[in-house]
Amino acid sequence: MRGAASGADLELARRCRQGDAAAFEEVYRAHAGRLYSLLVRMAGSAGEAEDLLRDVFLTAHRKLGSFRGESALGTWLYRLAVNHCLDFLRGRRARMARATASLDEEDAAEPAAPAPRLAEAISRIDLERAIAQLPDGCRTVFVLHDVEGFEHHEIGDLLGISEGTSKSQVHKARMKLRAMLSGAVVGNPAGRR
Amino acid sequence: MTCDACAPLIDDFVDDALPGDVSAEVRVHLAACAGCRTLAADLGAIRSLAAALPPFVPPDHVWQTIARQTRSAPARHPLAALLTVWRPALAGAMSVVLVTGLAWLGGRLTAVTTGVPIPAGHAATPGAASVLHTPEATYSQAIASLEPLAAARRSVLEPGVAEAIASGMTIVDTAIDQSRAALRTVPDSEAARDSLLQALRTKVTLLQDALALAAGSASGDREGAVTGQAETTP
Repeated sequence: MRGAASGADLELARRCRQGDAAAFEEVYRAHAGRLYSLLVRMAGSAGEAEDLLRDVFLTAHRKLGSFRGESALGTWLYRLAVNHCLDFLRGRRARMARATASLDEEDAAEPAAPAPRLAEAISRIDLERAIAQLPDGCRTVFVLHDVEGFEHHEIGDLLGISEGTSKSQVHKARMKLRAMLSGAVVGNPAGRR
Repeated sequence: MTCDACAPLIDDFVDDALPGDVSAEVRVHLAACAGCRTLAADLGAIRSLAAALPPFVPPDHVWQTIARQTRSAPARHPLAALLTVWRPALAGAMSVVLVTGLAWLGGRLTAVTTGVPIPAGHAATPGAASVLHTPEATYSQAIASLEPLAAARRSVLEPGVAEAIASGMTIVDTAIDQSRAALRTVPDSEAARDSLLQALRTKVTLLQDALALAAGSASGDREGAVTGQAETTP
């Protein structure tokens, strides 16, 4: 997906611009799964991810005229998806802040002391639930790095942050996940969103 | 290597992103330190499990909604959109060229057949020139400010789009020149006056559309580069 667009990407984009519905569906089938997975984990909700995925592809359909092939089509779509999701998360944080302004919010995953060990058997479901409980910022970076496999410099380009910030966010996410998955969590196991 | 020195390196160690000699030092420390060894093992397990998480599958209704909405609004290439909007204006400009050309020719033929020269600058209808002056000046002023902006933004347009814009401008400029030439020859020609104003109006529209397309191309580029920032939690 990284690097400049392939000939196939350029041809597909050209056909889409000419109104070829089958070509646009081909773009969707090729990239929707991975984008949806990213959106589910970044937004923390399948329902919201469905709306975001729809919006991403409607935007892509409208903006395919500006796709010049400087990046791969998948990378271009990834950037659209990340931007949409970040806008959504910012809006949600603002709404939550207004709704809970009078409440004290505590981190639900306070690690026990001494540092807990990871539970012996962690299921994928356990990890998915724990990822959903991470704060928005480090969850975004963790999903891009550990789940989607982006390098720190690529995450820096995607999110407009430094490589150092990306690394520290991944470390923070991993430490919080370790605490949540240790079986020695103190506080509300349902976590805060 | 102490635990304090090892701790900031553990994530890169887990990611296999350390230089060989540093990685070797970390490995030596982990062999001797149960706490750091456990931490590295735990972070490595989280990373491995995360990398192996299966993808989610979007439900069918998402594509159905997208397909329905995109069918009603087919994707448009900027060039296609441009031609759809400009085709009537360019056709009008071509007819301006034809009409003013005929008006000029008619004026010339009149002078030839009657033997009465029509003085240049003569306005049979008093005030015709002054009636023309205000809207022409307004359009000319708008063109003078839009033209350098459009020229400066030309490079962000796709080559095909830029060429189409240039061709449209050539047609309209020809229409303007022909209309002005006709008015110099036959100053009271209403057809030439109307044609000039129409051509000037068309040029303003073309310049505005060119700038809008350039802005759209630029925002498409910005969409392709991320504008968001992740929250950096303390």
